[in-house]
Amino acid sequence: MSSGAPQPIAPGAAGQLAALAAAFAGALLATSLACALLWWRRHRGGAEPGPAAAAGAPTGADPDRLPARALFLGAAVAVLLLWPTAAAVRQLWPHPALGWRLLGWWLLGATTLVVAWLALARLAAGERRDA
Amino acid sequence: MSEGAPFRALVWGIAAAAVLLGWPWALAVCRRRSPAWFAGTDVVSTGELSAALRRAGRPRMGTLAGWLGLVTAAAIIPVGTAWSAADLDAGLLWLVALAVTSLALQGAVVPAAAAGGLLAIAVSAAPVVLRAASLQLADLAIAQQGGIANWFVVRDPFLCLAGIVFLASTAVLWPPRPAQPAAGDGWLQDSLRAGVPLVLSHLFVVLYLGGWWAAVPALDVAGWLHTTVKTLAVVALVIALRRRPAWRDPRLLDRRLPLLALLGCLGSAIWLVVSGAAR
Repeated sequence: MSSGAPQPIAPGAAGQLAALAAAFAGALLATSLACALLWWRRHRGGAEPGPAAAAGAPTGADPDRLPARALFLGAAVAVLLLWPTAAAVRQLWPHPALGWRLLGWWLLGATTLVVAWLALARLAAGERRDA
Repeated sequence: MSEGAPFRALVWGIAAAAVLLGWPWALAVCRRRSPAWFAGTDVVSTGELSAALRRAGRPRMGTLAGWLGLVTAAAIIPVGTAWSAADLDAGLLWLVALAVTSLALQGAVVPAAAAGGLLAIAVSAAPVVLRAASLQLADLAIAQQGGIANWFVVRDPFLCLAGIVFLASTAVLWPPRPAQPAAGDGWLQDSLRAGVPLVLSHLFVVLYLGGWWAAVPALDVAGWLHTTVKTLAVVALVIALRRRPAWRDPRLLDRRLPLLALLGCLGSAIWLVVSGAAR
């Protein structure tokens, strides 16, 4: 940049991305709540076992399980990589919007992913125990 | 973007998820009251939904990814003036990105022909973008302010054709029920299957039916109400189309509907230039 003043390349872009991430986090939160409610209902004994468990099949043999976790882990890593990218963008274009607020939203997103990951692992462990 | 925008977006995300989770139940209740109207469609009954809930287990990652993409897309489509999770500068592009990601990740729910349907819908939306000269979803609705004569569906015959292709693609794209009930995440798949046409109908209202603007300007009092009524009317129309076997044939998405969408897009561009409406 020729002048020393910060040059906002896309006014409001950081806010828009933060809002989009927040909408995604809201969707994830509501869905996680629904999953948790159903999981609680099932483990309280108010629900039928799944067809595989009912038929005595080992649910741990679900071929979807490992790729699903790998996919989720990949998504988590991708989100974690967003931070250095954001830091690089901030260094190149020191816009005031790309600051602590972005870090806060990144932390919230990363925490949501980790909690969801742990919840999935817990669910999988519960299914193995049921089987 | 205001200071409270991320929190508002979070609330919108939660609200959209709640609405889409409840939507299959609303459809099932309607089906119980008017079974003839839903004959041949893929709307599930309350009994099937209850059974899916009783068998609920951990959702598959593909289903979950598709579902989250759908809910985020639903949250960013505006319901009224400043009534959305985020007023994105390139909202339509984000929608396409979310749709592509969702379809790519959850092939189990949406058939492979969905790629053709997505293409037809994306091309059908292009003439609206040409008319409004914006990718911002709110701008597309604002460009139709001032009554029914300004709605894009009646602006020119090619826009009308593109709108019809959009609707037809939505009807064909309605994800069919699986031959056997899905174990574990059937409850989420039911919501996903019912949610796709609802979100597409809402998008159709924003793109072609004036968004939150009333048909008569004097009635512009509650934008969200207009959007809701129009979206439900479009869903009813999609169900009416879906009842006919011809509109459940996924082969329509292979070639015919994308080609018709292209015709609408090109024709509308030519019409725009010839009529002198191009900026």
